[in-house]
Amino acid sequence: MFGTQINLSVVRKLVQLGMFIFMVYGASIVGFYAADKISNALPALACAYDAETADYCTLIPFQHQMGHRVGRVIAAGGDVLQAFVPFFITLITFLGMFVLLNKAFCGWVCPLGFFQEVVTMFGQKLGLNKTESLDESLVKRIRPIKWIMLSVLVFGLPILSGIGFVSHDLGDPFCKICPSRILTTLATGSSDQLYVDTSTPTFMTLSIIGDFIFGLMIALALTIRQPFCRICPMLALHAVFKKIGLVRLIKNGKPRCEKCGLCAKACPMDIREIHTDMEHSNVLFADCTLCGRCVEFCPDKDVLQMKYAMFPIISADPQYFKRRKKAQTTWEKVNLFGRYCNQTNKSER
Amino acid sequence: MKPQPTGSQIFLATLLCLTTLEASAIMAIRPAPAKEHQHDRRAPKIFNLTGHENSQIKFLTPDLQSSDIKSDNGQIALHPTGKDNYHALYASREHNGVQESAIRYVYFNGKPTGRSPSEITFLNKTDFEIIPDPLAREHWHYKAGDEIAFVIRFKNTPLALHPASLATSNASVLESLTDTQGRVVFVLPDDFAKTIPHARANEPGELLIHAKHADHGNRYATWLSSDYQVSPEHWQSTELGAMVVGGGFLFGAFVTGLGFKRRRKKGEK
Ligand code: SF4
Ligand code: SF4
Repeated sequence: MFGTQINLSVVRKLVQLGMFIFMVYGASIVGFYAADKISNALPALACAYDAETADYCTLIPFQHQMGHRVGRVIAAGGDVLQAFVPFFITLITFLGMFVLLNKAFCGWVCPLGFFQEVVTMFGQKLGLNKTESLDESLVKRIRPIKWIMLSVLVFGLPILSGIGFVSHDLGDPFCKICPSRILTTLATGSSDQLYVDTSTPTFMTLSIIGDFIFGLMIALALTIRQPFCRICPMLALHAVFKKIGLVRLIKNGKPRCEKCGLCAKACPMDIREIHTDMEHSNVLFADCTLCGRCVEFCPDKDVLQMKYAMFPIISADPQYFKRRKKAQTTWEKVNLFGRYCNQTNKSER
Repeated sequence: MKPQPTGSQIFLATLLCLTTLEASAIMAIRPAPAKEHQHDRRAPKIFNLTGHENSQIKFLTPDLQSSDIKSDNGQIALHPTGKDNYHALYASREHNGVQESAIRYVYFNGKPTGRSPSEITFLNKTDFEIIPDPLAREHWHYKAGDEIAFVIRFKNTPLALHPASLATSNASVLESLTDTQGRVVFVLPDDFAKTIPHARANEPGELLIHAKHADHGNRYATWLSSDYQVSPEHWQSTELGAMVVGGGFLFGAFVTGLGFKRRRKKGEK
């Protein structure tokens, strides 16, 4: 499907770059006033705090609807169904978009996901040693965090703040710690969202956690792939609806798979099940970002496939695999530190 | 009627000083002091029109439907229209030989009309007009320290190098000139005497942009009013934020060793 130079990862990077520019600076394209009115329910972390964003993520209306509508009706009484109407409208809008790309919103559209990949590339070019795969036990311990983030920070605390059980300062706690808020505003040249807020103990704590996570994410991303994605509540939200999306990941497992495992090594989210699962043909797991690397690095014909509804987008292919592997090796060889090392070694010899 | 807060008195006094027209020749639309019901989204929004005598008041919805509005001794009640986005409330009159106008853009929530606020701002409403370029977007507000821009227009033509002034309810006065495109930019002064360290705890201030013009012996004066808020910079420190980000980075670098240790091990093999 792709020429010798162009592969799926290159196409994806170009799409991600275009989406980053559109999501972070797109207000002038969609219109200044329209920018926060397009969907308000984007299945990716483009940020409402960015004055130049083209559209923004669904997590902010969800938090506000839980606090301002649902929580308040629970506390003060009233029409519960009516309180859920804005939430349902946002959810339907979200699903309308999500169905089209499924979890590929993470791997192809999200500005924060792209930023982490760029940092990892930067780390590799600096000659820092990439952690190829995290330990299985560590991955297992990290996985529940995204569900906790979604249930506690996006839904739980905002509802409790609407009821009055916790402070109103906890009305949108995920936004307060979200690294995309800091990243996208900094990318537009504004330091407005990089702060420690000393107004209340709650805001102070949240702003310190948010800033700390942002710095931590950058340092981790230099050597570890997609560190924040692994705990992102958007990943969990996608996982709830992954069955209805049109983009799918299919596996026709063969006995050779057992000894191979190249797909799992290629996976930036360390989804080992993509290798070990031999029972299911639908292998779109909760942590998948539909980046397609597993398909690219599968050496066996048609064992892994990425499909759009019934139509194949890319299928595993031995020829493609060879080219892709070569391209990866060539790409990874080019790094400042590596060259320096090679030269030193040569001169030492 | 409730006594006006001191800030408003200063505001009006500033306006009186600012204008070289007669002292009474001021038109400004300001929100009435907040009452309980104003937190209810379905309640009318109440405004006071200074200089309401002999004025014609009009109200324009986001889809550009115009209606006449009556004031009750200067008090105007705007009922929600069910249409989402900015509406324009404006008044005009002839006073002592001067064509005066005042305008304020008011946000209502409702069903989207599919129209951009730039249609309502750039529509020709009065001969001499101040046009926000742009208005603060939904969920955003003018706040102290922001750069805000306006176009000064006479009979649909922007006026280049034209003087305009900005006065705030906190007694600041700024004067500036439009550029060659008729656009004037002000940096909103950080002039709140007292700030409470919490965004929701501070009452907004009022700002008034004013310009006047003479053409073929006719004189014109116009005012645009809006609220503006305390800058959160009073309780948010960027320096501390950057330090915490740095701390997070160092912690991450320490935890991973940035791959150096592993490289050395590999190299040793
Ligand atoms: S802060 Fe994060 S969660 Fe909130 S709107 Fe921005 S991207 Fe979405
Ligand atoms: S399973 Fe495949 S498509 Fe999903 S994240 Fe891993 S490599 Fe990407």
